Amino acid sequence: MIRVSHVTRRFGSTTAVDDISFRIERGEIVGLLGLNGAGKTTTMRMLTGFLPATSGSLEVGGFDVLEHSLEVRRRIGYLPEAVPLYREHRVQEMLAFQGRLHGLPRKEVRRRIGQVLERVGLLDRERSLVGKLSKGQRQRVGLAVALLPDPPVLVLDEPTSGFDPLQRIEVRSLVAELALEHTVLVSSHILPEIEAVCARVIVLHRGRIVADGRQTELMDALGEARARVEVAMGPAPEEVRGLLENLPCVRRVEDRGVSGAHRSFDVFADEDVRGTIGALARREGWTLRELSWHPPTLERFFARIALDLDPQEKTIRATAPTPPGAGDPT
Amino acid sequence: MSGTGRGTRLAIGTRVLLAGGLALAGAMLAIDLADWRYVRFDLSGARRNTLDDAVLDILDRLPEPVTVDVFFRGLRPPYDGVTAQAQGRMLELLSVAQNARRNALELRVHDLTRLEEVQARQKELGVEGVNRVVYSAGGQKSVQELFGEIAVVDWGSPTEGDARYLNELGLLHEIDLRGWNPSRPRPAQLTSFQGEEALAEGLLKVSSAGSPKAYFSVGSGERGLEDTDTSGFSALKSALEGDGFEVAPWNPLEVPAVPADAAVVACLDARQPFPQGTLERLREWVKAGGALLAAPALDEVERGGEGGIVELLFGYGMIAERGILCEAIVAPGGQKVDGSELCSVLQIDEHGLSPSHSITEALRRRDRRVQFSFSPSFRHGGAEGMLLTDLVSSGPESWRDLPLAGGHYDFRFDPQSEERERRRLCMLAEAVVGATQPDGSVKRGRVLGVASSGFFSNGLSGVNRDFALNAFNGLASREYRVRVSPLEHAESRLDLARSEALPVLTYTLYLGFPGACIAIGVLLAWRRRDPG
Amino acid sequence: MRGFRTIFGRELAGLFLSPLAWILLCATFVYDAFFFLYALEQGTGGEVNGALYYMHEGPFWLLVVFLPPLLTMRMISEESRSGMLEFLLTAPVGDASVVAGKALAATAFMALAAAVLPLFGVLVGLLGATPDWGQLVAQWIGAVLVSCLFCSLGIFSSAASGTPLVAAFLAILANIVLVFLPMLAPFLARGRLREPVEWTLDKLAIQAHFRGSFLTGALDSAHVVFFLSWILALLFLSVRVVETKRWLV
Repeated sequence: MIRVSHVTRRFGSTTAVDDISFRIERGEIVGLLGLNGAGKTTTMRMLTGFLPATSGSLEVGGFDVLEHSLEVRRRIGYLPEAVPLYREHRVQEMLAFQGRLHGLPRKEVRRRIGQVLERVGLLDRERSLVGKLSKGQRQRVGLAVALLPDPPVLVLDEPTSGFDPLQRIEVRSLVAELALEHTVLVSSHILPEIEAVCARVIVLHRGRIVADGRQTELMDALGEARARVEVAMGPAPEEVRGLLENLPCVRRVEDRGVSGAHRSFDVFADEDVRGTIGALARREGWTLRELSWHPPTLERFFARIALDLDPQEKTIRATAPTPPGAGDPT
Repeated sequence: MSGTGRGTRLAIGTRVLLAGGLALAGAMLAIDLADWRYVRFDLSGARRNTLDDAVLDILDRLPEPVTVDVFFRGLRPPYDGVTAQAQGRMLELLSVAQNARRNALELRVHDLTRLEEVQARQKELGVEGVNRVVYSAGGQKSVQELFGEIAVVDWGSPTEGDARYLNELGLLHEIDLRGWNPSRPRPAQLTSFQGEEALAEGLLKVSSAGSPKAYFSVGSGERGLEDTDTSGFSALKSALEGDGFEVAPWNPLEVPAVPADAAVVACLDARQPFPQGTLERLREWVKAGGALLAAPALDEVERGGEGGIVELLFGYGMIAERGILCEAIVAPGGQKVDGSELCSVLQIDEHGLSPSHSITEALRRRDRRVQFSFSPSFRHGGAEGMLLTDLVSSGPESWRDLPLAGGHYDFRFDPQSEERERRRLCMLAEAVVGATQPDGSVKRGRVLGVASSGFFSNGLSGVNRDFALNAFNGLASREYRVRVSPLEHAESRLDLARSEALPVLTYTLYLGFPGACIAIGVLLAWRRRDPG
Repeated sequence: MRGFRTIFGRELAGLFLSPLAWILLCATFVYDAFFFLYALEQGTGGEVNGALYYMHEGPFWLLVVFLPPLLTMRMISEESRSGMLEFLLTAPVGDASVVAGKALAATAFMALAAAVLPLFGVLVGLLGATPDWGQLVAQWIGAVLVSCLFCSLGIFSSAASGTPLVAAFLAILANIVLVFLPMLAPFLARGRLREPVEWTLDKLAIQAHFRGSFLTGALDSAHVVFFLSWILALLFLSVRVVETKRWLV
């Protein structure tokens, strides 16, 4: 559905997007994750045809974004971060305008306005002036506008920005619903949002893609799941360490040193080994203060990236190989 | 995210500039091209944008584009209004003409405050003076006076200061002050406007092939073409040149044959007999279709004599009679008196101008006069093969004042020796049968006789210029009087004095319409308020 | 075409939904009323054609210099900042439709403002003095063309400027220069440069092309081409400038 190949975008001496490539198949819901300034908005603008790429090509539904700009625009519902709406018009007028822009017949427009407002939960606000709505309501109107022509692809730039936690949950569930019928590309700098909604994540940092894949697979690629064990002082550390290392599925053990009257160990394993550690502790008669399981999180990964702790030379890609024939345009 | 370096800005800037240049050039070319072939639709009620078909025809048949230079300057009050009126109408007419045929006519209206520019252009054109319209094309030009040719203004009853002012401008002749009644003052007014016809005439004059040549006989005591004193003919020469003639001297002693390229030969003011054979050659030339203008000097008429203009005209039935033609003048008191030199100054108006010939008919229509000063008169004679027409005649009360013993004139009517009757001052003889020309056309020989050569002198050039030009043009067969209907504006008047119109207008315009506007705006705002 | 009509309709509605448009319209009525009555009473002594002619010769020009910039100033500069331009440029309508739709919506409003004088004509006609309708219609058509030219210039200025205020200021300045440009002719056209300078200035002479035909009741194809050429050139340039906005963002 969406094909981005070696796209670069430069603004003078700054490179906003540096040789990125990815594919999004029909029906996927993908999160574009990155700090502010990582290149998320630029990428989205290039996809919608608003911004031309300095080099590389973008395709939506099989149409090149620059050559067949109008075809691409018909297939994308774009909601920019600023949520542009005409404030002096009523909600219904704004939607009718969108309908006319997309060439929908009048009766069809009437029907869809009702549909789409119900979808975003603003049916009672049809006749309200856009300027008089709250920010959250305006966001939903923006979404309704993007949805009106029923585009196969939805591109949403920071759809939850400026919302309180409750509203954000609402938006999240709405986006998740939409994913059932559309291909969705959502961008955010708030990790939990992406984590909660998107099966697949593309992480952008400084204009480059540093990770691209389904969350679970990415975590697998990242490795580093561990259990934390805190044993009361008593048994010799080397002994404890050796016993822990010998447990099945354990990769390695790190001695984290003394913490109060206990010694802390990180047990890196392929799966949750709390059970086996607990059994071991009972057998050896250790007193455990803590036994917890810490699977790798995107957050950790992301934080490390953001703080430049793990310079990523190679993009970590973890996408299931595409079966031949599927994922073709339209 | 944003931040363009100088490189990109430069590139973008250049592209926009290039696009701009392209757009600019494209627009200018398109506009130029549109002038090449264009159509105009006149939607106005009085068709004020449409020229008479006759003039359009002339414009369409111009062999090359004509430039019209307008040198207009206003007059001081109380003549500013009537001047502006005449000038405005002419400018509007010229503007309509130019817009009708932009490729045929170039209009240049000169701002007379820009002295340098105006002088340069006038030098270029070889003209001078103000309140003139100059038509030029190729090497030819034609000068028209605003006052007299384009518009006729009745100056009303001027005060002495105003009269002097007008006189300085050459618009009023001192002598015309006679006969006006100061107790019934008249404002100046535009009596008639012939701009449309003047335009047609001007265009025709400069588009004819070549300038007609007028040869003036010299070497027989005539006063010079270059003489600028009162009795010289320099004003006539420049008037003719201004009208598109080429003026050249002809000395029959040096060049016995009548010049073959002469359109008109003028024998004016010869005080000595012509060289032998000249008169025969002239007669032959007229028989072959030539056009001759002849006016004897008073000297010659008084002496009588042979071999000169008097003999020449005699052969064409115009017998010059001795004696000065006089008319009684009206004294300040109102009674008619004679005995003054002023009696010999004759002002001939429409009553003395023939309506049946184009040379004088135009003058009549424009309410022009001609003036003879110290002039003899003609008597009808017979002329074989010629048709005689009286063009200018004096009034029935005029008499031929005969000289006294000492050779002086008393300007007093002597009932014993002198008679009051109408006399002829100008006559035209036309050959009944025409002669075939080398190019196949048939021309009839013509002789125009004017009783006094002083008629054409510089002193009377102001008054008689029109007649002189008409005469030469008529003789050269340049008849350009075209009947053209004038441009008009549609007028629709509200009677503001009537009680209803003005208040209704004022209320509706100031309150009604703006009020409706505000009302609609407020209504709209109210309907657009948020339902909540 | 469909995109153009949609944008045109929305922009025109947007104009009428803002108070500015109504204030300008009201001001136009009062302004025209003042000068028209002045012309009728003092100028022509009740002759209506002369008064309407005078209105199109003089007072009209002040309106056409100031109104289009005020109408168009926000159309691109503000939308660029608010993100509305991004919305329009990512909608399935061509950039040209967006620019032309805006410019012509402003022109439509000006056509309405220019129709005030024919409305006056109707009024005096009802009062008994029928105006020369042909001349009045030609004057109105000319007024619309002149307005369209200045609206296109206003759109260009709005596209090229960062804020509405700057856009309006520059547009008004440009309008004034254009209207008075031919008066510079004598000073610029000297010596050998005379002909090319005169040729160029003639291609820019807006008043002359209005007075030479529309004002006196004639429709001249060359003059219509004059206005259309400049309108198209300015709209073309505006689209180019809007495109560059994508580069700069």
